[in-house]
Amino acid sequence: MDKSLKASLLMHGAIFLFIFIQGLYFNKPLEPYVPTLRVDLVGLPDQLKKDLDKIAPKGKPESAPEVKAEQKKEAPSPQEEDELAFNPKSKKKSKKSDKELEKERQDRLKNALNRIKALNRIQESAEDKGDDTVVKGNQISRGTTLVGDAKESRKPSYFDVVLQRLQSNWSLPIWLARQNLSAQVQIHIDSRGNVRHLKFVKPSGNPQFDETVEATIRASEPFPAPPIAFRASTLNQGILLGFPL
Amino acid sequence: MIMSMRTFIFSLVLLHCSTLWSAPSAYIPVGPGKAKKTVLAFTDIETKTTDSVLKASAKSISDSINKDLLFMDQYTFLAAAAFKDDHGVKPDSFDLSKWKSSGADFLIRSSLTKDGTKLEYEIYLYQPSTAKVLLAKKLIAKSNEVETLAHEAANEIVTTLTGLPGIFLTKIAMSCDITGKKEIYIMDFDGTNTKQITKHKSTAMSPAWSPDGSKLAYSVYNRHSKNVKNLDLFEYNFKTNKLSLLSNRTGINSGAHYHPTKNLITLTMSFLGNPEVFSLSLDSKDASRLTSSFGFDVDPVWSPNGSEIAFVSSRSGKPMIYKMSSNGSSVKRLTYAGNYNATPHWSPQAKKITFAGWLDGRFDIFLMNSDGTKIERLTKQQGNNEDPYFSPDGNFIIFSSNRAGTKNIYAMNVDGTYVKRLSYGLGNCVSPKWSNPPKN
Repeated sequence: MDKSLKASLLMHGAIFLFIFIQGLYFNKPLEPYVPTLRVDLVGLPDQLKKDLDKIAPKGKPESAPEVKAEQKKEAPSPQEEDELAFNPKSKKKSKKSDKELEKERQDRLKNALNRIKALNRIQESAEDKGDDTVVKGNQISRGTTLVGDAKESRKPSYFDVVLQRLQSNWSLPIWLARQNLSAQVQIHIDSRGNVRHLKFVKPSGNPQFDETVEATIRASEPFPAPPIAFRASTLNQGILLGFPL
Repeated sequence: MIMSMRTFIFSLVLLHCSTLWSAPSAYIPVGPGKAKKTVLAFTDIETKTTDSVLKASAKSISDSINKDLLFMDQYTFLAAAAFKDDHGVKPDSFDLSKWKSSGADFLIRSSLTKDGTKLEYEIYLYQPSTAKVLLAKKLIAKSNEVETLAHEAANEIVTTLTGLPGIFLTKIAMSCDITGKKEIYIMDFDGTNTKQITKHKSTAMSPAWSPDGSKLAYSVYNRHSKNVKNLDLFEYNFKTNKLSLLSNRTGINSGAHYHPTKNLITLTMSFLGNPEVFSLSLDSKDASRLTSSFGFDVDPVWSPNGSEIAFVSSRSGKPMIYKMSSNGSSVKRLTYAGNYNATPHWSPQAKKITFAGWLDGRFDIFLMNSDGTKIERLTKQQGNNEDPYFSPDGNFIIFSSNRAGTKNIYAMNVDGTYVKRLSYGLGNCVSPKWSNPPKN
């Protein structure tokens, strides 16, 4: 019994040691904080590059028809008769007083207005939701978000804000933008959101590009204070930023 | 049991440590940045003279530099009224700190003086945000070379700002048929100063610039013995004004492209029967075969460092873009999409390849990474668009298009925007080729 317990502990110890050493020396590449999308392979792209740049972020073409479909399906409930809909039967039924009829009419109008407002809200929210559309060859398709496989970050909301802050300041001269350069910078953010330390993990090789990258980070300071749970990691491990990847 | 408990706790600590050490930082790809135009302030050229001719020269230089920089579609100028009363050219002759809040990313100040028959143009480029002098140069030219002087100055500004070669002294060669026959013509980068080079009264086509811009290779239909027409390859030397025959092997000797450093040309030849890609030594005129396939292999172009060749082959059935090493080995197919992809050309940075692809019943210009990935369409519903070719700085692609009826030469930004027509009044013009900037 004692022997087998020892063997078991030894085995467990070996496994833990393996995990420890693996963690130290064989760090896996970081999962980028982006939703992963699956798209189909297509022929030569039909859309112009300059048009794609405008269309891609909006993603209106697919979301709009879906909203229309929802509108059609929605049947008016008995309590909420639609004033805007033509209904000849409703006139025959009415043997009520003028006051009651007027009140009913106003209620129906109110319901109809509320319904229009609600539909507008749905449409607006559908139009805003453009992030999950991707452009493929000849048409705009929704794509499939691979949430499970993508292993998205567990801290999306804070990193969303960091990303937005950086993107709003990330601009560079046209000639530099055309060079297809890339740099990676590790930043350490303290509890107040200030960048405590900045290090180029992978410089682009172009001093002007790297200067622009650093200026972008500096212009984005201070970032919002990290949530308490993440403070240790954002300060000690830091965040790796890719410009553009 | 106590031992095992200790071991267990130790193991837990180890595990905890391992997770601590291995915990990866988050990785945020920020994505591509917004591209913005660089704001320039270009003050009046100071002459300090009453000489009206010199003042007129200063005005021409100023206008030409403005025009050149605006051609790039990357710069915008502050209104001249903002700095009318500000004088001084050299560092410390004016208050540079005042320009910090002007909105200008860079400030250009210059003066023009005359020394006998020579013009001396002194130019300074300042960066107000850092108070740095980025460029200080004196350019000297003959008084009748104002335009060249201005182009040189614009080149200096662009090279200082971007590290890329200025294109304002480059030329474009093409084949046009205004005479009823196809002849080779050249023009400046912006379509001005057109000049006819050949007078074969035949069909001259596929011009190619030597890397230093001193020679132009092209193919022309010649009559061989028994009155048989043959497509021969010639080379015109601008320095000596001499024409020399490079190859008159039976069949096609066409589609030449100079090696960037070696004395070699790659071209299509068919003296063995099938059109194949060859490399031709300009010294010995010996040809070595680089491709061997059942289909045709045409349109070869060297990569910018000369280590690879991109070409078109129909070996898989449909003509597609391929690349191979300079000795013909390691052939790799680059395009799979489309039905007919032709005339590839590498960007000067070697990261991209442009080509003409057949889609919707016409040719259009496409751009892809040099490994065949990420194909992007640059032209659409504007007639036939063919023969794409990069500018030596990689900012533009020139191509031929019949969007206005006859075929003409157009230039566009590498993202397909800002299309400009360059050729006028030369009939149908095709096969535009952009020269490298001349080396001083």
